Amino acid sequence: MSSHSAAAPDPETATPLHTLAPELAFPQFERSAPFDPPQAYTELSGRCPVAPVSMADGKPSWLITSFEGVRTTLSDPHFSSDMSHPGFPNRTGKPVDDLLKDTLGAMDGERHRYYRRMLTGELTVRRAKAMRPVITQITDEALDQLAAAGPGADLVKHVAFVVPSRVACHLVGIPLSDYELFTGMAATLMDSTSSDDQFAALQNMVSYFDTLVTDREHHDRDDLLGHMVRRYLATGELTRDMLIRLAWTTMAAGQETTAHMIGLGVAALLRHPDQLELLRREPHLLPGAVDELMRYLPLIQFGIPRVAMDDVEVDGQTVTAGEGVVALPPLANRDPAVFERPDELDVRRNARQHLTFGYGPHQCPAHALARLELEVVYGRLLERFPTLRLADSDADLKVQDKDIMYRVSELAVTW
Amino acid sequence: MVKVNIDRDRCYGLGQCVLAAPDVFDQDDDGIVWLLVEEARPEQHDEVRQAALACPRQAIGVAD
Repeated sequence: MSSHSAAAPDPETATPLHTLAPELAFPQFERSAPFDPPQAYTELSGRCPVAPVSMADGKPSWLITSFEGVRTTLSDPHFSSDMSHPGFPNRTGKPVDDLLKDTLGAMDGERHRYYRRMLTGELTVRRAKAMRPVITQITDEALDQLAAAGPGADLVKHVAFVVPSRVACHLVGIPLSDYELFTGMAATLMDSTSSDDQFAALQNMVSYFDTLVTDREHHDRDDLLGHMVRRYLATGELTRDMLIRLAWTTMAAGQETTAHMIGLGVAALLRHPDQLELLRREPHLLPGAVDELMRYLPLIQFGIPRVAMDDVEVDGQTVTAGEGVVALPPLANRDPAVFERPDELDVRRNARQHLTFGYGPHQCPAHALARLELEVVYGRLLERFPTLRLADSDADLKVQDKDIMYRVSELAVTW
Repeated sequence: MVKVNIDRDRCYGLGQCVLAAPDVFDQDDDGIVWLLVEEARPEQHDEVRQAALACPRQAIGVAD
């Protein structure tokens, strides 16, 4: 494994990106099997793990598909998350999304570290473990709804979309009575196609959180917002605006990601009955199975963009200052140099090193909570519905394969 | 026995090490790592190496 910094760049490998013919246009969508990454990436990864590609706005970027290359890209301090940098890869061809300006994901260095530590204290492994009873209760209620809907019910609607958002509400401190209101606001914010609608949705979200913050200034509440108000707002370490931004982005980041892992994860298990049977017989394999499903499933469609602030070597290729790179975790997760038989789902394997949570300073701060949610949901589902299967085992899975996250849009199950 | 050392200044409080080796690593109230033991017993060596590999900040050193 590499040290914490990449080797000094070798002038021999320094070929300016703009002089190279692109290997492919990014992104690609065509796949031969529902749980595999698009074929063009797989083919390219074997041949050229750091490859020139053309982005939607016509500019070139490097596409990084090896395990070592992705880890270097996401952990080397020479790479920046500054979306406003002219070299930062633009996957949509549209201007930078104002919604994401000055959020944690777009910060670098000490400023990022300063705000990030305020969240990590709320998301420690111990905190996550303490939430197991709540997660179990929320899961069981969702499974009641699934059972009540009867065989043929949609697991995405009744379980995948419900559990993560209820858990996030509990964590942050959104009253259950506001659950529908909040999820409606979040959906409008995420799905708005016009910038005016999005701005209006953001204003709604901010004013809603402002009310919650005011409440916590007057009452002690044992939740993420209450803790952050007492620890950081009261001391002046955090402005009200930044507290609200941290809170709503944390909520937003934790919902759809986990929801899609529930839907696609259950679909994968139902399509691999031998693995499902193993988990049913040996529930102690569940925590490892969560990591293996996260490794195996190509969730992240558009990769993780960065821009080089200095010349830096990635997997033997020099990336020149100002050039954009896109790290693609689903391909790194199938790197045969790290994972044996990478294209097989094997719940017995140790897949802890997968890169679906990212890597480096921006790695998902709530990974412990997400892992626990998935472990509880998969586990309770298998316990409660021992004969669970796809309602129509011959039909193709209903996938949404053009969006930021690859997912099943619907999963009809029977038992 | 292997000696374990941590760089608390590099640590970002992710807790990957706590998941990998819960008897060796813990987190303080800010999520920053601290060591429960400075030397890992032979049966913990594998877990400690896993923790060092999983650390997204490469803040864990293991010396035989």
